[in-house]
Amino acid sequence: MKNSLKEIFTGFNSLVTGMRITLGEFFKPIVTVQYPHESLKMPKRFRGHIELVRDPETGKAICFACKLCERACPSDCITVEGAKLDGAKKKSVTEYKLDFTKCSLCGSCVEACRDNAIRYTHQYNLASTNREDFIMDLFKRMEDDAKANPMPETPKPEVAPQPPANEAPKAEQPQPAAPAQPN
Amino acid sequence: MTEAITNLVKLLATEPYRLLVFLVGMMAFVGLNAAYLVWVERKGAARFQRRPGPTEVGYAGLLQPIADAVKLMSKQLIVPAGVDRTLFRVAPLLMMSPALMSLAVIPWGENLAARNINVGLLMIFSFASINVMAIMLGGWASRNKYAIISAARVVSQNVAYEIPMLLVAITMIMVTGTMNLNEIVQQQAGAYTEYSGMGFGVFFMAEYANILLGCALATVLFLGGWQSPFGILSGVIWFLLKMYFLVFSVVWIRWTFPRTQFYGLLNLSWKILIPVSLLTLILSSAMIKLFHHA
Amino acid sequence: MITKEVISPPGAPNETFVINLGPQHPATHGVLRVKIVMDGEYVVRAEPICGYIHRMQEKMGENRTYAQFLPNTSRIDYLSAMTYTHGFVGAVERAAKLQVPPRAEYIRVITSEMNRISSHLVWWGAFLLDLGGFTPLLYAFDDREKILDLLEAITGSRLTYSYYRIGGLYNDVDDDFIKGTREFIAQMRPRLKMYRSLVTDNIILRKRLIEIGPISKEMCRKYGATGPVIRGSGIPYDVRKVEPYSAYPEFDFLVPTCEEGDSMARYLVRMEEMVQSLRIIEQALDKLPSGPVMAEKVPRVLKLPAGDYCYAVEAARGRFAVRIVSDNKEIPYRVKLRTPSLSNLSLFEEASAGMLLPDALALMGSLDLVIPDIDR
Repeated sequence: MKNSLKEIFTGFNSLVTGMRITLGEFFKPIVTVQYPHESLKMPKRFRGHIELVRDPETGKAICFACKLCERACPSDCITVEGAKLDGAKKKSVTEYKLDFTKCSLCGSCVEACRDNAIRYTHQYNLASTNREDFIMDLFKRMEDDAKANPMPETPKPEVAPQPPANEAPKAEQPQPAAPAQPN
Repeated sequence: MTEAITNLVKLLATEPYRLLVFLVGMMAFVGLNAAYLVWVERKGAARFQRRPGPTEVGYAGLLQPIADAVKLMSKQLIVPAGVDRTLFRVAPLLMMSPALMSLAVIPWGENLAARNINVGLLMIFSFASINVMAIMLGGWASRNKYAIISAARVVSQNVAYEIPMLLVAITMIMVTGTMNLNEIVQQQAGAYTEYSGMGFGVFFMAEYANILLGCALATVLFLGGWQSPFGILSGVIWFLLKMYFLVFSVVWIRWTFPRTQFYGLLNLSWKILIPVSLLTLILSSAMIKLFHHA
Repeated sequence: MITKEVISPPGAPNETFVINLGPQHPATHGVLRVKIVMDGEYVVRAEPICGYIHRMQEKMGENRTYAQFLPNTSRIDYLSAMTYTHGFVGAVERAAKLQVPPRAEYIRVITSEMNRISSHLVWWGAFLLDLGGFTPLLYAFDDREKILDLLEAITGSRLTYSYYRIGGLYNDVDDDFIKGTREFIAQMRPRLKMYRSLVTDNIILRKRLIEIGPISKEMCRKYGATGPVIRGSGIPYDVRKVEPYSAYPEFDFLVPTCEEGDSMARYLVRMEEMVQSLRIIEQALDKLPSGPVMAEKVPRVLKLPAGDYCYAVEAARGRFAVRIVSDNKEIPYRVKLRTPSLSNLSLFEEASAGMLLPDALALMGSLDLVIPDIDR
C-alpha cells in the first residue's frame, strides 16, 4: 500500500516535470529554417556535382582527358574524351559527360584527379521533370560559363622598349593557336 | 425601422424562436471550434517542438483549416465493398450528434443556456453512451480487421472511463442536490481507417467537439462555470477562458507524453479510479448526513 | 509483464488471426515485414520476413576495387556510416599492413563516436515515436543537426560520409571543427540531463518499458546478439574493450551494462553510451596529435596478398565485422559483412511469443533494428 502511494506521488511528479519542460520549450524560438523564404549556406567542402575547372591563365579547361576519374568512379558515371590539338603538348578534353542519375557523390573522381581539374559545386537545388537534365554535359557547361564570364585580361608587365625590328615576329606567335579553338 | 428591429428581437426571444436561434448558434460555434481547434492543436504541437506550424495559408496559417476542409470535401466518398452501407454512413453522424445535443444544456453564461433542463447532467451522460456505440459501429461497419480491433479497444477504454466519471458526477449531484447544470454552477461555481474524405473529416470534427464538450463540462462541474474568480465581469467570457485553458492543457499533455499501455490504462481505471471515486462518494454522503442540518 | 502461458485451452476452437506489421510503417522502422499470428491481443508467433531492401552489397564487393567499394560501406547502415567504413578500411589496412598515422586514428575515433551519438539520437526519437510521444523526436533531431553540420563542414556530406580512405582520411580537420565539437559537447550534456527528466524518469515510459521483453543471457548467446542488446542483459561485451582496435586503448571510458535484460535496461545502456561517447570525444580532442592524415606509400592500385582477413568494430547497433577473401587481384574474391541487426532481429521471434502486441512493439523498438543493415 505504502509503495503504491509513493509510486502515485513520484509518478505525478514526473508528469508535472515533463509538462514544465515542454512548456519551457514552448516559449523558446523556433529552430527550423523556413525553406523557400530562407535557405542555408552550404559549407566550403560541400559535395555537390562536379564541374570542370578553368585555368586562370589560359581560360581553358585544365583537364587533359587522362581518364583517372573515369577509372576511379565506382558507378561508371563519367565519360571523358580528349584529342590532341595541333601544336599542343598534351591532349585537351573534348567531351565530358557526367551521368548524375548514377552518381553517389563519393568524391573518388575529385580525389583521383592529380591536377585539380574538377571540383565540387554547391548546387543542391536540383529538381527537374525530365531525366535528360541529369545527364550533365560538363564540357558544354564550362564553355557556357566561359562565354558568360570571360577571363579578365591579365595585365601585361612593364617591358623595356625593344628595338622595332624584333617586335613583329614576337607579336605573331600567339596567333597560330587562336584558330584551333575547339567549338 | 428601429421599431421593426425591436419587434423582431422580441419575437426571437419567445420560446420556439429562442431555442432555434440558440441551436443554430450552437452548431455554428461547434463547427467553428472544431475547425479552429485543429489550428490550435497544430500550432500548439509545433511550438512545443520548436517549429512554426502552419504559416503559409493566410496570416499565421489561420486559413489552413478551411483549406483542409475544402480538400476533404473534394475527395470521393469511398464506401468499401461488403460493408454495411447504412451503418457505415451513419456512424460519423452518430458520433457528432450527442456532442451537439449535450452542448445545448451547458450554461454558457448566467442566462445563456439553450435549454435549462432539470436533469441536464443525466442527459449528458446518457448521450455519452451513444458515442461509445457510434465508435463500435464505425469500426464494425468498416469490415476490416484493424478497424474492429481498434474500435474494440476504444470502447473498452471509454467504458473504463465512464464508470469513475459517473461516480464522481453522482458525488457532485449528492453534494449540490440538483442535476440542473445552471444551479450546479451557481453553487460553486475516439476506428477511422476506412473513412475517406468528409467521413474522416466528420469523425475528426466529432472528436474535437467531444473535447470541447468534455472541457465545457469540466468547467461547469469543477471550475465554477461562468463565475468570475475576482467578482468582476462574470459571464460567458470567463466560461470561454476557462474552457479554452482546459483545451490548451489537453493539447499540452497530448504532445508531451507517450501513450500509456492499453492495459495499464484499464488497470488504472478499474483498480484505482473506481475505488477512489466510490470512497469519495461514501465520504461525501457521510459528511452531508452529518453536517446538513447545521 | 502480462503473458499468456496457454494460448487456448485444448479442444477450444482456433480463433487466431494473422496480421502484417509492415513492410510499410508509420514510424521510422524501414521495410521489415513481420507476420504475426495473434490470439486476441496476444502474439502467438511473430515471423520477421526481411529482404525488401536487399541491395546486393556483398555482390558489389566482388565487382569493385577496394577504393571503389568505400561508398558502399557507408550505405550498409546509413545511420552509423562512419563506423562501417572504419570496419572495411581497417580490414584492408590490416591485410596490406599499412601504418595509419596517429592523427588519422584519433580523428577516426572522434568522428565515429559522433556518429554513434547521432545514431542513438535517431534511435531514441524513433523509439519514443513508436510509443506515442512525438515531441522528443524533434528535440533529438535538433541535436543531431548540430552533429551533422559539424561533419558536413569537414567531409562534405551529412549522412553517407565516404570520409575514411585506405591508409587514413580524405582530408584533415580544421580548427573550426575542433571548436565546434567542444561547443557541441558543452551543450549536449545539459540536453541529455533534460532528456532524462522529460522521458527516462517519466512514469508512463517506465510502465511501458520496465519488465517488458526480458532477454536472458542464454538467448543472447544462442542468437549471437551483440551491442546494447547483450549489454542490457548483463554481459559486458564491447568490441572496443574485448578486441581493441584503432586508438581506443588510449582512452578511458566505461562500458555501460545493465543486469535486468528488459527493454528499460537496453534503453538505459544506450543513454549512458551517449554520455561515454562524449567523454571519449573530449579526451581525443585534448590529446589530438599533429601530423599527416594519410599513410605514406599507399599504392594507387591496391592488391591484397591472397588470404582471409577480418576486422571488427563496435557500431552503434553491435559488432560489425568485415571479412575479405583475396586472391591477389585488384578486386576481392569475397567481401562478407557480418551485421549486428540481423542477429538482433533473430531473437525477436522467441522473445515475443506470448506477449501483448504493444509490448512486442516496445521490444522491437528497443532492439534498435535498421533494416538496410539486416538485408544489406
